[in-house]
Amino acid sequence: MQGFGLSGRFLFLEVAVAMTVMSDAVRASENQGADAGTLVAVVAGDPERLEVSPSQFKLSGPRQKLQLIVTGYYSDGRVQDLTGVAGFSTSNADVAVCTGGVVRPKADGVTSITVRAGEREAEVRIDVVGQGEPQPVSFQYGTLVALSKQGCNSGACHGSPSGKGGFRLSLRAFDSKLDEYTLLREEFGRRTDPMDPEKSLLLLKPLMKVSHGGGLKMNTHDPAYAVLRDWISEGCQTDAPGAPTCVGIRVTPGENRVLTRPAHTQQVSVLAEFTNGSVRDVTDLAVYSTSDTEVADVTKGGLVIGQERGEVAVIVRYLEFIESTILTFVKDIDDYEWQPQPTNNYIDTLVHAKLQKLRYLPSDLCTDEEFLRRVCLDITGSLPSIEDARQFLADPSGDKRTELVNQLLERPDYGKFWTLKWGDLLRLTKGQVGEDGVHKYHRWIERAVSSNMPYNEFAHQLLTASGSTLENPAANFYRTAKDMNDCVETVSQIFLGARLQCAKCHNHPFERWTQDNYYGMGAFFNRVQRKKTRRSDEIFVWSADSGDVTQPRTGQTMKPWVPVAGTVSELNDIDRRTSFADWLTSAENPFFAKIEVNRIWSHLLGRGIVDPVDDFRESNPPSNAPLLDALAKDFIDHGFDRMHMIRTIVNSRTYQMSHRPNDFNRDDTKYFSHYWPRLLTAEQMLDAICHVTGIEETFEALPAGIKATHLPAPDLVNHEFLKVFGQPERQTVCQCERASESNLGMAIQFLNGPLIHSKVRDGNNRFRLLVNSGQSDEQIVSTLNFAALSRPPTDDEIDAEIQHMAAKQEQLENENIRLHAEIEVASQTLTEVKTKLREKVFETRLLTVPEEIRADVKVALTTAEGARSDVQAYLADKLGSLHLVTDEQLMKELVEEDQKVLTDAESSVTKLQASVLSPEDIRIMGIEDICWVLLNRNEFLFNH
Amino acid sequence: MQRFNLISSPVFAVRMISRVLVVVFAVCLVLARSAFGQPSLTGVTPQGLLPGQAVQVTVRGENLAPPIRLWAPGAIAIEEIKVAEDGKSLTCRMTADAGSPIRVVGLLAANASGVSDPILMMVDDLGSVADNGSNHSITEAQSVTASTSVDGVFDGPESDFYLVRLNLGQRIAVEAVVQRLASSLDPILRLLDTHGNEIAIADDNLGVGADCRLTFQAHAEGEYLIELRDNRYRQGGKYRLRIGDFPVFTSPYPLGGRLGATTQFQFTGCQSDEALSLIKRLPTNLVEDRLAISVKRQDGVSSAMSQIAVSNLPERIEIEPNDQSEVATSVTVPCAVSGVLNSQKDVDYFEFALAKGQRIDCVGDSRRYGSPSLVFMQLFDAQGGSVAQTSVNDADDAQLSYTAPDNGIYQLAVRDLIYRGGESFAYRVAVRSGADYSLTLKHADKTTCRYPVSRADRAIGLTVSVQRRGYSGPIRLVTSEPNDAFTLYNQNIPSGTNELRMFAVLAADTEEGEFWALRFVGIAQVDGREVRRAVMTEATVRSTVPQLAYAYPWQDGLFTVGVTGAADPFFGMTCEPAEHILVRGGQLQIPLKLERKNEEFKGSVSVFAEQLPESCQAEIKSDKDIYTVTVSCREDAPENDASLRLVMIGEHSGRTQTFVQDVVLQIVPPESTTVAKDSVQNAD
Repeated sequence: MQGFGLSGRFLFLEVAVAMTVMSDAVRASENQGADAGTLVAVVAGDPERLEVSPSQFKLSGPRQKLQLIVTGYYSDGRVQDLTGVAGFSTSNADVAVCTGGVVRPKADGVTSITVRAGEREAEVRIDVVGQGEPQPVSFQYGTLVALSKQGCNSGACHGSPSGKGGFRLSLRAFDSKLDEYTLLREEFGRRTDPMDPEKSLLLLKPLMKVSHGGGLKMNTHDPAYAVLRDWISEGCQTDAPGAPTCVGIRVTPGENRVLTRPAHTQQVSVLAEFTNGSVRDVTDLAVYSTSDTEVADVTKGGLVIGQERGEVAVIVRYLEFIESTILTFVKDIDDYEWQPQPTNNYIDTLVHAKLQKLRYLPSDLCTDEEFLRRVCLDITGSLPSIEDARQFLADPSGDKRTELVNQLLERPDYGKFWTLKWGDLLRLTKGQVGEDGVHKYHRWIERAVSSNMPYNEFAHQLLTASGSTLENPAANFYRTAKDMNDCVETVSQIFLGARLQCAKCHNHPFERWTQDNYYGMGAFFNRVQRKKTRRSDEIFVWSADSGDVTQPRTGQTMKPWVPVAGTVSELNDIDRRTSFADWLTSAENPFFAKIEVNRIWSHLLGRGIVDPVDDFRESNPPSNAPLLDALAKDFIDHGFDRMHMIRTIVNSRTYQMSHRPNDFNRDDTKYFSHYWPRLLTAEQMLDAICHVTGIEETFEALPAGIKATHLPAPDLVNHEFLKVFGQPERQTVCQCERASESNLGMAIQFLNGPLIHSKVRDGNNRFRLLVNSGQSDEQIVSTLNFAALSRPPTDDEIDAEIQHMAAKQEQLENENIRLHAEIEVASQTLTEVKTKLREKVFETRLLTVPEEIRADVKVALTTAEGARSDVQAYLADKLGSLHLVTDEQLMKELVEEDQKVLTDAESSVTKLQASVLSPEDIRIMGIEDICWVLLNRNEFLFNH
Repeated sequence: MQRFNLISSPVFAVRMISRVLVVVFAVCLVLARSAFGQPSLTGVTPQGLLPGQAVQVTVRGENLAPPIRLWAPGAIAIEEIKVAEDGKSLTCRMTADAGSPIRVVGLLAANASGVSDPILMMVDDLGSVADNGSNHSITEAQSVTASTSVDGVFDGPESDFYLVRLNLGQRIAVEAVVQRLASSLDPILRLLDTHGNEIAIADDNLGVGADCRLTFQAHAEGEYLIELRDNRYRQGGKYRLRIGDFPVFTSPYPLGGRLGATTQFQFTGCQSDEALSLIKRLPTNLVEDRLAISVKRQDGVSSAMSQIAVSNLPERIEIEPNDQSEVATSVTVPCAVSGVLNSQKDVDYFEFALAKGQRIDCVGDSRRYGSPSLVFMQLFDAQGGSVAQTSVNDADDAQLSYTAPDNGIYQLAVRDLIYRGGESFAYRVAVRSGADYSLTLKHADKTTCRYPVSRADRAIGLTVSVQRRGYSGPIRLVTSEPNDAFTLYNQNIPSGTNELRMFAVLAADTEEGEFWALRFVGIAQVDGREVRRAVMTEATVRSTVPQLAYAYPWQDGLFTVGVTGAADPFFGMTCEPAEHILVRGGQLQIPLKLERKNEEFKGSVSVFAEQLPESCQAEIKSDKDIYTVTVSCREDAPENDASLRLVMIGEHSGRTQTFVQDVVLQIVPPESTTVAKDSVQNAD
């Protein structure tokens, strides 16, 4: 994918070099340091239609100007931004002039701008007024906007909570009062010098004419420079009370525009609307970014430059106003040709439409084996049983996949597994909800999921839960969300897909969420109270009759507020949460259903349509908005039925596509042209290992047979394997807490971790029982393959595995031969040691014989029986026992040092003998290898 | 110059921590010493007593050395106590009165080692069987009848299964009595078919806290399974699983009745179609403020247990509709009002007149009697303005007090704290008017009501706290029933005083192993009427058995005293001479010297003078270890010999020791003083 991206970029540069016409915007971009210096607009060609936006405009005052957007529509359906290549002329240059699409006023009057591209022309009427009237720079909409444009008040610079270098601005100008104080009064106003504006520190520092820790941040030809200089020279005025305020911005182009290479640029214009009805072009002062810089970059001047295939949101920010526009960049692919694709349901239709638009081709369907494993893991969290796998694969019916899905959704494992996911989100831990509460809350969720409680009801019950956390476990939601701030952040992240933490202290720097919004939402939850009761471990959740939220910055009492609808005046007279929950779960809520279907989609396809799933924002648009809309509509139409959504998604061809990419979708990571393999989760992995080996895991005080995917909470059991594989501690409501990346610890667990080792070596594991039941190697290996991969081994695989076992057998038998040889040597050594030691014992025993006959006795007893004299025979008869030393006697009569010598020699032989493997052991060890290899295969480790 | 902060200095902190640790260690030692060797009860089999039938009971425990006495509250006879040789079990025959309501009772033991805490058991009209211990799967389920109680033990991760056969249409109720028997475990009940499919589940039912119950009517003849386990899969806790035809309801209604009145009780939240009713004549006098009741279904065999509040207050029931202030139910205070919050958001209004300066104290109750309501009250004046409301805190009992600034009509609004409602949501608010008081044990959650008393010490000390509500006069403490074994000292709580250390001294002839269960009540003349209030100890019960959300009526206010063997005195007194001459109209000073026999005893002692003739008075002062008893005698005192008994009580390391010194006073006329002195000197 990376390589493709680079080659695409090089191609684009080659094309770009051949072009010569540069727009003002591009020049500006170049000057501002963007990498667009060699970029040029496209050749106008022969558009069928020419459109200029706006078609008429009034320039009020000498500071106003207007960015025109010229669009060419071609007969083949293509669209090009011609702003950079169109010709502009004015009917009255005394009134206004137009250069590179930017109209500037000269004097009051009316003029017409003629725009030409190819053979087409279009006219724009321009009214110019107020040129003789002074137009002082607005503090709010000039000075602060200019500082924002240059990034002076960004979080990394002076917008950080403590500022930088003793100069603190509010983050992205969200607190104009603070900025007013800082700029005008702090440090005795030494940052500005109206007498000599260009000597003001406010200008000298970013220009690096005075040392500036942030480096060069501005040039004198930047629009922001002129604004700041003029504001200073005008005496650093603040806005008069009653001055018009901005109510919103409009971005052009507004529709989702598809741009086909080489037409890979799009100029953006921004108009700000004010309370007095006036409209100002703020294109040069707005701040731009894109949702995916791999797909497109944007210059400071608002020129979007496509890089790769894909869809991108261009985010435009003007003070707290944020708007976005979606642009799609495509290019022709060699040999690419869209083929009509079969569809199972609307999901496929919408996914295919996106793929076709972006010149991708979907992969083929996955095999039955892949589908079986995938869908079992996704719906129940577990691998299919061998019996289920064999039955499914042998089933010839055409609708067996659909039938399997229906069966899986009926299984208890479905509810338990999806409860695990909700447990993560709801921070279900013993530490958060108590020892009794954790089981009750878990059971409540499990029953809600298993019984397919409509999602809106589920959310409503959670959000409005009151009473005992033990009698009504849903009330534990407010045990984990401990205060108003926690409630706002938890609710918004789980149910609105918005991460609001930063809005607690200031307006969200990248989103529409403001600090007022945060505390407005908090007004719904501020009255939630928690009290203890006589029952230990019980908390009683209730809502007080009073308790307003005060915005900490403004001191204002906040009225309850929800997105889209705004301030809510008609509130539930008893519990404000009810009003919020009613709004949240209504079918009209544009967020609620989308968040959940996106989460379900993400669980099933490995990536959300919006990803991360809890980060819905303008700057993170859905990769397929129509699909997300359709899913949400379907969800709502079916009464927020989660099972229906799961069924619909897994029955789609999109879900059932192979994980193997084709030549035309290899670089796709966002548009679901092929299935995205992913590592099994910690709990899935452990259950899968238990399944393959047939050895259940035990979890401390929990019942035998409970699966890891059924655990109520991570802190109920301390399981090293689960921790290593990313089991979350559930300290946050973010799905991201569950680690999905592989790491060294995981590898070590599979190489020689105690868990796998103990299960593979367990005397009662699956393959040992099969060996004991008399099954053949082929049968056992086939069973293990079925258990691990949900499919029979291929002929090649079984050959390789049997060959491995044979090789292992040969290796071990050779080892046995070597051992036998060693045993022979060691035995011989042992015999020699014993002989020597017996002699020692004999010598010791001889000491008990009178000294005068000792030598004769020794000779008699060491002389062969037939060679003895009569005397010797007599001595041998009477004292023969002196020379007979049994093994038992030997050990008893040796001195300690010699005992050790003997023990070592015997031990050496024993050890060697114990190392000799029986034929059964040799066979088992071969199978152990196969089992271990299967557990280490990617096909086992990944849901694919 | 830097200022040195002593508090934050590390040296100071270390010293403080060290001192605290020493104190904590010392306290632990004291507690350990006082608990060491006392009898304790760990189990009783069976856990149920059939009313009117003698039941052979085996009690397990420690330090049950004979002779041992057993005690149970109410009408339960205990006979034929036989202690095993190892002192770890005993058997006895227990008989609860026929007609006793089914309820939870306690059994405790006392011997020369002290007194045990009570172990809880039931008076139950369902016969007992034992959990066989091997019923951990559906296939191994233990067969039981549909009318039985199983005494069992939770087996951790493994459930206990019971198999019961039911006829078509037969209705059974199943109830796990667990935390109500002081087990800390939290039961979950499931009813299954024989394939293991769940028919019903019960966990934390309204009204019974952690315990649970369910009812089921068999839709087919056959066998059904009852599964029981702990919520957290813990093991070792005891349970009593009741299976029978008893009714299942949340609470009686009304929740209380007036002493001496005949009251008809309905039962809310019934899990059956039939209406339950109980007509009961309440006792005219009761020390406890609650009464156990039980009720059966019509033609039923087994009973459900419950309890009601009892008081002298007139009982009033809401008259529906009273959910608006315009239709408030009129009552006269003082009274107790009962109602049911029939639906969500229901608010019940009661209207009454108050005179200027009249004070009312409202106490709402519900959960104690099984109702799920959490009472919240608000008081409105005639203009509809809110003048007082319940302060929500960690206690379940809602309270509200108000003194009317003027004559007027007021309305009390009662609702559930979170506006729940339904037929189960009954409540009772006791609206007391005028001066009153109540008594509790001070620091009840940190103290004990179980007193092992050495025969040498013969005394207990307890600090009583007074909660006064408009009454500032004196209160006299007595035992609830006349009790010759005890003499109370310092039993009069003076006017305006809210705390008193009282001593109860046992008679001198007390013997080891003797035992008393007693209550203390206060008696005061309030507004011309005698008001008796018991010293309540619920906080002590709950600190000992936290899983009991509410103490049983017999527990609340119960003090147990057992006489143990001798102990070394930690103080003594010398009083010489033992005979004194007291001149009529004069004074006499008798010096007493405190002897500290245990060097760790640093405290003072309380000295009480008694048996003085009416014409004499004694005053006691102390200077370090010298106590001086000044006896004054009126001029008209009769001339004779009188005795003065000095009772000295000291407290040390959890012990309360008594020392008695009798002094002979020879009351003489003034003119005989010299002669008398001479005669005394001559006698010496």
